[in-house]
Amino acid sequence: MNIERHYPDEILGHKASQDQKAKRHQEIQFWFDRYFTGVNKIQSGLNNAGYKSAGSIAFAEDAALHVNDVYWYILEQRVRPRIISCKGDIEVTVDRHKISSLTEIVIALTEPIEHDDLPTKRRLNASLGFFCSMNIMANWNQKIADEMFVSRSFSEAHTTWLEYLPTSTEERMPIFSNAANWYLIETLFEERHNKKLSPPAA
Amino acid sequence: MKFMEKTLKTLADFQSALPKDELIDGAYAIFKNTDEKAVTKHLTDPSIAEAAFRAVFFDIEEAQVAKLSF
Repeated sequence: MNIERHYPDEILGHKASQDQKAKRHQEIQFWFDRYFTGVNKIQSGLNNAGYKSAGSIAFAEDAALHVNDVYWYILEQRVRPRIISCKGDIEVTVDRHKISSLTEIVIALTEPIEHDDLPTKRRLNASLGFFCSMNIMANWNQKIADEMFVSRSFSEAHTTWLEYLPTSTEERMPIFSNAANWYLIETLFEERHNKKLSPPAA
Repeated sequence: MKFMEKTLKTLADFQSALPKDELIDGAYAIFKNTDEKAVTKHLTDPSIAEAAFRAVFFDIEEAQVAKLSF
């Protein structure tokens, strides 16, 4: 993608403050650091699962900053203008499902993780995106750990879908349809939580 | 079946089931957006990061048993 990295404030106007952007940058950096720590601890498992030389991964320079810049650009240019507020508000708030959707798509397409082996690189970046979006959704509703697993088949299909998203143009970003995925993931989290709280059936 | 082969098969099954232009998102969102502003949310709980990591790498045993210390 050929997207300018830093966008002048006059384009963003009042919609996203510098504080918001700085906060999201810190969060992305936090998720990237945790992912890097985790991957380094499971290298042999990754190698056995078909990732080539999983131990040699590295993030591109200023990876979190770059992802954050692209995220806000797409949010302002492609997402926010297409949301219609049901309450008639002038300022439109982008909800958590679209935030999760956009975050993982931006990560999968900008590929902040560098790796010599292309399939491994794409797989790692897709799983990084999925990981970041899981953090957003679970933190938002303060989920507990064992409510967060979706299903093996969903996780595999979703990561694969991210891995093979076309990278030719930002027009091909299925942000809104993927947001519906995150709506359903959240519903599943909720169902698990409610089931756990309900008394066992007689 | 090795992991990557399985992945490719899943992709093939998945993509063949999609309409040709599925990956072009032209829909307008009319969902009600009632969230609190994201800026008020703290999205960096280490225990959630650890659970998310295990969920993403569900198929790798080391990820399930490793002490990640997030």
